[in-house]
Amino acid sequence: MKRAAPRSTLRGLIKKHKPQLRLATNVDLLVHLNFLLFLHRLAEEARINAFENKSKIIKLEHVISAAKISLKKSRG
Amino acid sequence: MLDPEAAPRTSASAGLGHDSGVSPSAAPRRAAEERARPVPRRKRLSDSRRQRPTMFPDLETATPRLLLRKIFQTQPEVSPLVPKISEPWEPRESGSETHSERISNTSMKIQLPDLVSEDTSIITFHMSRKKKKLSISEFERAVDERFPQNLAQSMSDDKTLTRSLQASFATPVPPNTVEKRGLLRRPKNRKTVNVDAFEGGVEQNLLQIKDTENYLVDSQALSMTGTTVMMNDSKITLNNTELFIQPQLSEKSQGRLSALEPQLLARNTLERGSRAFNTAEPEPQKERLASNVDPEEEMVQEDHEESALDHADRSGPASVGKAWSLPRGQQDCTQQSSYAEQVSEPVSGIQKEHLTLNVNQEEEMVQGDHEDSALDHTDRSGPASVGKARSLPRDQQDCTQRNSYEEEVSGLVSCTFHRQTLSTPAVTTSQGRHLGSLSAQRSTRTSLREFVAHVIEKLNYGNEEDGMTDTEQEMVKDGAVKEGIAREVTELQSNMEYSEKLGEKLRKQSASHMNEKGEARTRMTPVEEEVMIKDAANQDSGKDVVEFPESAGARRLSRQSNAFFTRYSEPTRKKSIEPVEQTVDLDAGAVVGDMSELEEHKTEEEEISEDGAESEELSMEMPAFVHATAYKVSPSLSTPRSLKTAVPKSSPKPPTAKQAPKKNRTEQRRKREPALPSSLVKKIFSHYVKMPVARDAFKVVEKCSEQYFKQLSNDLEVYTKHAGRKTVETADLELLMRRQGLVTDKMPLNVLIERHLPLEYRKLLIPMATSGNKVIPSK
Repeated sequence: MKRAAPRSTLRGLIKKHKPQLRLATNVDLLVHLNFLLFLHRLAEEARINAFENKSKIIKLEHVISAAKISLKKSRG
Repeated sequence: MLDPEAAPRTSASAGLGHDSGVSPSAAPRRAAEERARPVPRRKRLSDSRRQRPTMFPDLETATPRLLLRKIFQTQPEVSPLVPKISEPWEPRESGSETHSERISNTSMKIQLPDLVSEDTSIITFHMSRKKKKLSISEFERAVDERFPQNLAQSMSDDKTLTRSLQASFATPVPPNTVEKRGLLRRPKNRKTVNVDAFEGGVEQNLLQIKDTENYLVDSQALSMTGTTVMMNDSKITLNNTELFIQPQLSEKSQGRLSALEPQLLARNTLERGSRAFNTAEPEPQKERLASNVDPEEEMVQEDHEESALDHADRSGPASVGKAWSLPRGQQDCTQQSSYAEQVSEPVSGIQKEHLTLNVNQEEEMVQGDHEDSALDHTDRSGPASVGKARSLPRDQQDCTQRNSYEEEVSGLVSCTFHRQTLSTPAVTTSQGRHLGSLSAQRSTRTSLREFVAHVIEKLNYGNEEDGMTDTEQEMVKDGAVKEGIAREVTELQSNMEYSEKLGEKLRKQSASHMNEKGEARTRMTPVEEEVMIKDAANQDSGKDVVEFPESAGARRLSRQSNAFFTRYSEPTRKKSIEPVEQTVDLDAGAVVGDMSELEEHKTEEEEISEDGAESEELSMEMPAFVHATAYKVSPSLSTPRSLKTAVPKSSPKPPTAKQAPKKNRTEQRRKREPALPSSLVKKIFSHYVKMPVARDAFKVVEKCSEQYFKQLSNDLEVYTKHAGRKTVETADLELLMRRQGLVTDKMPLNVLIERHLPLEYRKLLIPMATSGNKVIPSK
């Protein structure tokens, strides 16, 4: 099922991008949540694309187009 | 009331002149202060004075006759200083009240114009036509009022008031009064405005007149203030006032009209010069500036205050128009410097002005006093201005007088137009000079190169790499490197291998030995570095050496031996025909570079930072050598550029892989940015998608998640910064989610938390209250 959120990895990831930025205590949990929701959105889009193509498998092109949309949505 | 009534009667009978004259003198001072006060106070004051009946109490009676009387009497009381609501002049005459108000307004307006002079300058101009007389008189009044200070002002006000009253009442105005009757009728306040406004209007008039009539050529008129010019053009009525005003202008203008006067003076000169000036006016601003500049040129000898110039510069184009128009009217030559300022102002205002300004400045200030200030603005146009200055001075010399004005104008204009052309050649020349300097350095480099080569040889010997040294020496001695750039590359490659071994050996061997050599080289390199840094193009070996250290450093950072190698190869490729020595050095350098590269790798392995001074130095020096040869040929390439280009190219190069591949890989892996475990991502994604997913798709998902994290960190940083914080808080996250559309009013954050996060996390994020008044997490 679900795995534990890699808190230290998340923090390291953000540090890599923005070393000067600090994180509060449970912020990485929310980041994890955000990531989950993002993946969720991505998955939904991919699934829809696959359905449209009447394919039973999520293929690359489905994911790519889904990724474009999801990334745009998650820009904030 | 009797007293006030009696007073007015007496005053009325006696005529305004006498009584008003007396009372005004006393009244203004007091009236100024008490004007705003209610009537009763005036009464008291008037009682003390006796001579002045307060008008206001009479107003209460409100008989027109009495009111009028009171007006006469109260005129002096009204002081210009006391500000009151100003009413339009025209409606004044409607009633006595208006008269009184008018009086107050007049006084007020006299003062007000000071504030609004600039804005109303133009307006004044328009009005001036019709109200020249009035304006002049007003101006005179203003002059009287302002400079003599309150007393004077009050005095003038009184006079004005009396005059206006007289005019309104159609009583003959005593000739002694300066203002004219016609002026009285007009709203005095408006025109009494400031001298500046007046002057501005005058100038404008002059300008227009000039264009049409060209009186300005008249030197005498020019010598006079702008008003004088106006006189010639304008109606005769102005003459008298103008004469009056002129001396005043000269007195006060310095203080206030300083800016204008110089302009006027300049204008005068311009006018004298020719119609060109007139023609210049309609011309674009540029030319205006040119003309402005010309006067400046003419006034080169004049003092130019840096401050003035600076001020002028800052004033910008706004003052351009004004300055332009103002000078027309006024022709005081008292303040040429200020004029210069203004001229410089417009000059600076306009883009190209800097050049002209520079030119002007240069012209003006042969000593370059202004240059410091002006040059600040024109730093970039420095070379251009220099060129221009050269051209302009020519004009300047010629144009000391009006005669040369035309020349100056034309010259200036041409200069301005040619500014760019001048600048470009100047710049190019400067660049050329720079390049020349670089070339000079090359010669020095050769000597350095030789030295470096020598050191390398020593190092090679020290390392006991006979084989290597032999090869290196051979390379060094190879004189046909020019043609064999490719060969060099291959050699380099081979050398790389050798250098690898050599590098290893070097390290293992006496480090101190290498240190010594490295130190020696480092000594060179720092110096070279400095030299190199200055030089854009590295032609000389010295530069190469310097560059090399830089590149070496960069390489270190990248920790890619490949990059290093490619750098060497790149330079070699880039090298054009080079002298044998250079090529030889390159080879040697390449070899050295290889060695240093290896060393770099080693250093990287051992220490991320440059702890290994020896290795650093060595690598730095070695790269320097390599560069010395490599970069000689690439004048166009700057060190960093070449390095950078080399670096990216190197990365894809396969040969780099040969060098210490294992270490690099591990190091790279170590240095690899932290990324989410792909297994986790896979799991989550497949859980959400609930369908089989192709393997390629996972790669896309991974890439996508990387991009997502980038965006996330950016957004969080922005949000945190916006909140003035340096730490990301949960609020920032919530804001992000809200903006993403994940959190809405219908879907609060907590719900999302509960849905998607495991319980333990939920507990951390959402404080839960349990029995016993406990809250988890405990705060």
